[in-house]
Amino acid sequence: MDSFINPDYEKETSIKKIQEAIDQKESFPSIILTNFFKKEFYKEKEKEIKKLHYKRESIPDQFSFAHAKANPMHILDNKQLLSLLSTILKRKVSSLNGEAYYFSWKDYTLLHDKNKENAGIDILIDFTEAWEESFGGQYIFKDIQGRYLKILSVPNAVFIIERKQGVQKYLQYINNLAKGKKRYFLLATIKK
Amino acid sequence: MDIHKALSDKEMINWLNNKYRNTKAIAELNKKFKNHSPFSHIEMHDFLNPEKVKTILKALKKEEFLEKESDLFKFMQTHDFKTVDNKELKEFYHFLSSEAFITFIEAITELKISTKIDMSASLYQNTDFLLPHDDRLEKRKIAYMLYLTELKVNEGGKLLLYKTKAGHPSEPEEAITPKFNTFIIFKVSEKSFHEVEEVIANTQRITIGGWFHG
Repeated sequence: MDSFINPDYEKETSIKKIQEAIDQKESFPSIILTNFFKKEFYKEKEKEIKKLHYKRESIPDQFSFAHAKANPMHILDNKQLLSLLSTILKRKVSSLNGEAYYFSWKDYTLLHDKNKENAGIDILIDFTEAWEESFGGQYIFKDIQGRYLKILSVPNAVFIIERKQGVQKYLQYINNLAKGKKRYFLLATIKK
Repeated sequence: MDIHKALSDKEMINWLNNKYRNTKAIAELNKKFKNHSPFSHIEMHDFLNPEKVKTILKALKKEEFLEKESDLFKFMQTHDFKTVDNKELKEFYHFLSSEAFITFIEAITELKISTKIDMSASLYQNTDFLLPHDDRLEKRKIAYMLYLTELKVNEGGKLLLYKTKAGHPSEPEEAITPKFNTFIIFKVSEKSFHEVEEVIANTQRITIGGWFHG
């Protein structure tokens, strides 16, 4: 079966560079792999993610968003992706448990003292087209010293971050400049 | 301090609209404060004497507003007025923390508060917001805000007061549109979930606000 991943990312030299780039970032070991999927495959999956059955959920002092089971897209359980992640992360990634999300105007997630995430590796696969920084909706990763990392939305990109103990994330409130637009992505977390 | 003495205090005469300086008015405010839902609060329109509120707004234009941003909010704010140099703002700070004014607030709320207050000015512009939270921190007992600008109903910036369900805000029960020279107070508690709705127009939402402490 032909790979649907950009062949540049499957070269041994590329993988080494990716591993080095992740290791260099002490506080937030991470990388964004742009143009990750082959164009046709990405376009097909971009259509699929919009057709999933989303459920809107909100606890106003914690979050507001829509989410759906990502299984029908067959990305998170794809052997090629799991194999590549296993090579990059130097550990066996046999499955990814995650969901599809969309965030639109007035959506957000908040940091919450009573609901802290354990350390882990987040994998975010971005399907958002034409998103501007001024809309909000970026993921912010924050450590206990108050240092932070902001991840801008890039279509057809895979973002990998190793969240150390104490690092929490939130998705910035999406403002009225994004009226009518939706930020789509798949998000999975690998427990440490 | 006795309420009659507080109402005839020189600073109260200087600052507060005459219509609030009598015991009948206070009794009515007290009744409304206790009965308003989803939690005790009250709006007092035309709160300050007109020339005083204009002076404050003018003084604020000389103050530095700093950008504030977190997961919960995005807006601009001054430093606390405790250390402000501006004469008019300093006088307003002293008025709000005066024994006479504290007596007035205690009479409306039936809550015991000290003369320790926090006070700063906030500026919300297009896309600025403050998401739902309950304000509980340290010894905050009553939250207050004075609106210094006016927004239309469709411009956002409303103060939303939430109903509570299982310890979390569920849905807004009341939406207060900012009206010039309106003073709002609410009791800080595990139920006092509120939000400043995003401003969605090119209109500035300016307030002076803070907390009275227990």
